[in-house]
Amino acid sequence: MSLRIATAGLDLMAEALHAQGAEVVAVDWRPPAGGDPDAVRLLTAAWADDRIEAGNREAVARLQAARPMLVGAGRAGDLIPGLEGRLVLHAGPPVEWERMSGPQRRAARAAVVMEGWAGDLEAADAALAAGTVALAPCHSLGAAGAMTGIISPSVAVWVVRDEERAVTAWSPFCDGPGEAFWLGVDSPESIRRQRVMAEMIAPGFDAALRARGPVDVLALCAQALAMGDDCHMRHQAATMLLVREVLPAMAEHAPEAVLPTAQMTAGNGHFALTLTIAACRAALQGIVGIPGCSLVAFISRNGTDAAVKIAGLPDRWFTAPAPLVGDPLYRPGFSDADAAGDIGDSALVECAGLGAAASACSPSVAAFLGGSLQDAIDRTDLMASIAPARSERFGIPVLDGLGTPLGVDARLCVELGRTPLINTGILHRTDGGQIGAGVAQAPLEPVRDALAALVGALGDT
Amino acid sequence: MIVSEVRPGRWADSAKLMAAARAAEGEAGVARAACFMGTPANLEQARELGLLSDEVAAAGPDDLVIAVAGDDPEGGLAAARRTLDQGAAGVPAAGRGAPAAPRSLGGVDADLALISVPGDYAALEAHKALGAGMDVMLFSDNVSEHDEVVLKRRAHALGLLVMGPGCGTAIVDGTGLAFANVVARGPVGVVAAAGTGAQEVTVLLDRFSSGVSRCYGTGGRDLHEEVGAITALDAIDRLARDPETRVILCVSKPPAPDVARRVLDALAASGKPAAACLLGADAVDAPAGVEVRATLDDAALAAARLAGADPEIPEPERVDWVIPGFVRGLFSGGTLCSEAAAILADRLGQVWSNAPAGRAGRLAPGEPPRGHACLDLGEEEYTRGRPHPMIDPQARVERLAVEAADHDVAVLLLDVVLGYASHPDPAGALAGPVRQAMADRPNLAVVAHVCGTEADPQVRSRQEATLAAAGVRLAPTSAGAARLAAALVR
Repeated sequence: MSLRIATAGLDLMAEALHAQGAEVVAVDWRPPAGGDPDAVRLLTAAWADDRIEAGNREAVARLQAARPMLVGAGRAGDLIPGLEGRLVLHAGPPVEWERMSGPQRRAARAAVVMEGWAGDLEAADAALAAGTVALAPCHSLGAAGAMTGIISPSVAVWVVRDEERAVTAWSPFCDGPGEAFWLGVDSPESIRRQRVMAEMIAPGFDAALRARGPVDVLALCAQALAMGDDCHMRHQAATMLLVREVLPAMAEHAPEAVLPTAQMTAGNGHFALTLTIAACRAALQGIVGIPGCSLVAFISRNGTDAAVKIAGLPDRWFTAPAPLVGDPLYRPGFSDADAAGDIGDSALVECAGLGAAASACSPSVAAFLGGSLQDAIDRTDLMASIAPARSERFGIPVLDGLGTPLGVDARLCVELGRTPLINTGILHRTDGGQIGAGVAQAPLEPVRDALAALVGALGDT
Repeated sequence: MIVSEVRPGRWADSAKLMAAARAAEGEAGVARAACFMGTPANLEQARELGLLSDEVAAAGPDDLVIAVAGDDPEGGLAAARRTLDQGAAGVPAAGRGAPAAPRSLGGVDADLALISVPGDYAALEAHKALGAGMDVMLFSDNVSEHDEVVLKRRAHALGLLVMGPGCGTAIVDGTGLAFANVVARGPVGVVAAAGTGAQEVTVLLDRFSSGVSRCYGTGGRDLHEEVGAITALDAIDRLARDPETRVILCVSKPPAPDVARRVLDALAASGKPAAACLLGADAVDAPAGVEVRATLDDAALAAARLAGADPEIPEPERVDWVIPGFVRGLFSGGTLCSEAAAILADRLGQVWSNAPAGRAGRLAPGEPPRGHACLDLGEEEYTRGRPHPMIDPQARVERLAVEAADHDVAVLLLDVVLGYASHPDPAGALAGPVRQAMADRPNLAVVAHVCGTEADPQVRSRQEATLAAAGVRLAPTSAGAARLAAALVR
């Protein structure tokens, strides 16, 4: 096998090697972190540490090997250990009621009314403000939710289990467009949808899964990518694949669930989104706690703050203000002034090889964002520049099956001044409801802070 | 008038920036041009050069700036743009649909990394490469000795090699890295703590009917006490285990005595016949199995013979008359400068040099030469931000005119180094100025040695013919050229 030589720096070095017929990888080098000396010191320490290398290698191997399976569905209160008493879970890092974003407050108070902990929305506000109904992040109990990410005991959730690392993860069912908890709408219709999902659809899925066995969620995602989903902003194919997998067993063992499931999925192209989120959460939880690992495990936003956790520091969140979603595409009559900050736990899928990492799989998402396929490929390339590996499971059809970028290395983020892109929706800042979509960018400061803390912690041992 | 262009957030390496400025200055109607990153220091320089437009003044450190002044500067601006927009010649550019070139060395899959970034970032890039399991050739200099030791210890623990910092030459798997000549593949493995020393011995092994299995550079400080020859010892170990290598040849600039001892002992313990040239070192007791020679050509010859070759040694040129005066060596290669200074000191007594060279007196940086002297024009005081004289002959052309005008100087001694990454026609660049000097001073002698092979892109015989036609006396080896220069004045 011939020698493969990487070059960084003077062009003429790569030219001389090329002239000799050597196999050359010429890095498009420029000063790391804009040449900032403090950042260069941090990066030098981070790249010099073999514990980080070893940790990241282990993390990539675990992400490649993860096989999260959909094993069940049902009421959150029956399934999520620790979801007890009057407790509402929400997307993003911990946040006080006073600082909670508009859409998330609306979904939370609707959940309080649904649970019967308050007679109306005003009383629910009071209970949440007084703390008689407690708030906690989904992540605190091993769950993750899209957009507002509200989970109360009566909310339907997916149960995903990765036997490889003995991790279970949960995510609330996606309640569709318009009047929905996940979009921050606190109407009677959105409460009705939650009841239908928890009382009819989720039990149907659960019965079907018991009969036919678990569904390999990431295998389903891999197929969906080949059918034009990015598995974040678009889940049309994944939703249909999920229904196709489960429908025969559901028709046989829970026929009463078929019609509501058909009605829900017919009008909800995002139905499988939260299943993907639960699966990616399970896979990513498998790397949390690997000593020295500098991969970003979770990116989590609540519309007020954006938070980052890196795998090597399992007990800490690093936060910054949640940014507005970039490249926004608003429904008529809406603008940045109406937009809530970036929200949802869903950005973890970008750390697991999906979403923006898989942009090149989805010409229709590219077109929706007003760009060409090349723009989508560019987004995947950007994710590749901060990823330590390529997925062995998720191929990109238009790039001859090249794997999607897998994982996000905080070191590369700081070096290149780049953070994961997040293909996401935009909610109204006070009224809730979706007013647009776009590409958010996770803030760099918490990633840099996390890397500095990791290097500091390694330096102490 | 001044025309300018600021490219926000764009970066180019200094060689490219200088090439762009040179291209602009080559256009009619251009008085001055500069291409630079908009750091405060560079903006201040632009102001001093009269190149500060409002647009330029507003540039930041991450912005690439082109500024051209003259009566009709537009053509110059266009020429600079063209040069900047050219990719690395011959390297396929990432195009539409093709995967983009990697933006970071972190995560690249390769066996070896050739790093030539500015010194401030070199340790970071080298650590990335080591972490990814690559050997490292660190062409960059201005890396601290502390960083060098940390890198080399880590590499040693990982079973990898860090060649450098300041490593100019290596040959691995038949591929020349950075400044390297096209030489026959053969039984001699080379370890060189000396860039042009490595080029000279590999070229001579080729000429002596032998050849090179691989050549590892170590960087000039490897044989200092503080570094302790980590790379040299690991490289000797690799050559000892390499089935293609039958003889090991080690060359270095003046080493620390204790470290030299350790290196010679490692050679003796390698289980293979070995030769060494530790320039400027006081006579050492060679351990059994190691032939120690004082000059590069003798060491290469010893290695070739150990490997079974029976080369003919070319006769040096005869000296018919003696010219009174001083020898001034103007070198592009640091090791060739050290070697020449050591040889001249042996034969002529007091010699001055800005390169380390045993008994030669040391010139301070920027101190003008006096008496017999050898200058390494690759040192910072002569390049002042310009590319190395092996890439860009301008610094030497300027110095040559100064020395030729000094009537105490009788002989100019030059090295002409060929190979990949070197100037495409160094003899052609020197011929004109040499002719001019000899026309002005009929008694001046110019002696040169071409370090290169027939297979090099510049072709040794063509380079020699160009020099001979200009009246240059040629010697077959670098040491031979220094001996000839000494003979001419003695």
